[in-house]
Amino acid sequence: MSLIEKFKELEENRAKAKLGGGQEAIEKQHKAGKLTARERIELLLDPGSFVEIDSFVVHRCYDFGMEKRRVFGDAVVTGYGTINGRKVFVYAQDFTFIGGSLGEMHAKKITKIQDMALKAGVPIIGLNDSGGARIQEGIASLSGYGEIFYRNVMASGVIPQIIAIMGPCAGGAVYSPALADFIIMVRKTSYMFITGPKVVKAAIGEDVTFETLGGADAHAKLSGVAHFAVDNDEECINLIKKLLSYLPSNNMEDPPVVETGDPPDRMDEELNEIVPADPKKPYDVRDVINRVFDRGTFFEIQSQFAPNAVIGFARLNGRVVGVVANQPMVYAGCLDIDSSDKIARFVRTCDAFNIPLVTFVDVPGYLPGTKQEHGGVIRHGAKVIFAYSEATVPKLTVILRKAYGGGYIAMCSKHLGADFVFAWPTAEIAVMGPEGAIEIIHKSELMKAKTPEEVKEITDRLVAEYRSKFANPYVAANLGYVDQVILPKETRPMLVKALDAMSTKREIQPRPPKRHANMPV
Amino acid sequence: MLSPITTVQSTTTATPVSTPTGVSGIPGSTTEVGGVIKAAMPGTVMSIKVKVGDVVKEGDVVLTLETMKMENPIKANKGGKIKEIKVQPGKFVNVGDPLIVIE
Repeated sequence: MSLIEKFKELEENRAKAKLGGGQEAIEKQHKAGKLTARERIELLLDPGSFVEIDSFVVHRCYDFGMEKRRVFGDAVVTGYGTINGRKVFVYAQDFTFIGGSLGEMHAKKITKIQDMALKAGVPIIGLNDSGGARIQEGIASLSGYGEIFYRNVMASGVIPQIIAIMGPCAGGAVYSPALADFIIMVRKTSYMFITGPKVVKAAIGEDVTFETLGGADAHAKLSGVAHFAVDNDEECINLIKKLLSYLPSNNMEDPPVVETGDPPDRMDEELNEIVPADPKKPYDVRDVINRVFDRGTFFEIQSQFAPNAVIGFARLNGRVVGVVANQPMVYAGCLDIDSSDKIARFVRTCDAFNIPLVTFVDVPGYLPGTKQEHGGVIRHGAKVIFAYSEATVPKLTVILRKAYGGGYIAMCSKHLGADFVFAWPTAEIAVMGPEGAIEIIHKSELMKAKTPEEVKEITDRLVAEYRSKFANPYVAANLGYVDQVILPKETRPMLVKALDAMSTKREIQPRPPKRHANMPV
Repeated sequence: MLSPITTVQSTTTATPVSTPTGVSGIPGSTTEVGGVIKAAMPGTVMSIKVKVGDVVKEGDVVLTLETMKMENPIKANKGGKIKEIKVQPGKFVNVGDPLIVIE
């Protein structure tokens, strides 16, 4: 073979590899409303930045006629490139060849990219679109999943791992995304479940559709598995880019600082109007968040799941922070199983990636009831306390209104290591709400009342007394649990200064050596 | 150590229990489908702000629902004439219960 022929052969092989499962399968993919693996990567990365590796990997299965079904790449495209100039490693499963199924060599391509990303300290992005394990390859495909999971865990907390579900993802395949930091699902074309509708029907007689069982909205609203649900592939890719802009490349770096043009000393007068003095009146805590942080930078995560808590990233004078807030508009902003999980996971994500935490508190307590207690609200609620206590990033807390009992402690109180706690004049920091408190403290006095009118009269008087005496920020401020009582409009400049003051934070109290802590799960 | 601390106030209003895991999937304070305003949270109806035959605009408050001692304004998500009021003040409603029907 001459030199020219050798070069030509490479060109031909490259062209073959690019086709994946073939033109017909590519058209089918498009008809299903999906882009191909290569099109997705092209959209995701800066133009011309993608460097592919392992284009010529093929499977080595000789059973079930598989020797005749062999294409370059083995149903996954892997490599690296840049997003807005920042390095990332990426893999995209190619549904056009044997349904993007995962076999031994397919998995090896993914684990190679995982290893490279971890060594380089660079985020990894997975674009999943796979029918699952390649049954023909038997347990070799299982080993493949296991190797991927292991690397997901090793990379956890070191480099950001973002996985988009852009097609089927069933059975064991769900656990790689589940081990990552963020999951994005595309509506109508993607689903995730352990067992599909067919098995559900056979096993427990339940009739359920793919979409209801494991569609994007099911996971974004009900299970909390998906952090985002989007309408199509383009939206999905754009969201990954946006998400990445709030994350550092690895745990040794800070997230990129961006000049947002919003003055650090800006005071928003409207902040004074948002939180009603009457603790029975709800409001949207996002109105507070949007006015405090750099304009237009708040990026909500898991917005539909457990909406009684709000989490997301924002920028404060250009620096990325993680925002956690109770949402008084939903269930009075109380904590429950799902909101605890949501908050705890997010706090740990932020702590792992050097993202300071800003917590807004308006919490009446925990959601009561057998469903909550039997569902383990104790176990789940403990995670919030655990996550906040363990976090060593700067922790800033603003108490907007109610901060009662265990909810007060859990929501990044001074006692859990908050660096700065600010309270608005509307804050009510107390062991419990006035009505509940007087029922206990003044039980005997209330028992003496003869008529319902009398009970009401005594109750009203005692509640008013308790409220003026204890339901305010000053009792806590007297004790130094609150560092400063501030006007709502002063929140932004105060947080900017506090973040500056703590930007060089080191945890001075040494923690005892241990393998790892035993966080309740 | 924490025993004297009660985190939830005893309340006369409700024991809010809905979905097995709590409050997931609630988009805001109401779920409104096809003109029927449904309760998105359990709670006690406090006051009804409209009468049958009234014409409301989208965003008008039609009733208030007390959940966890919070008085939540329930808003119409479409304009129209009030066709039916399914509840009265003092009634305890669960998630998904119809409250008001707008024509």
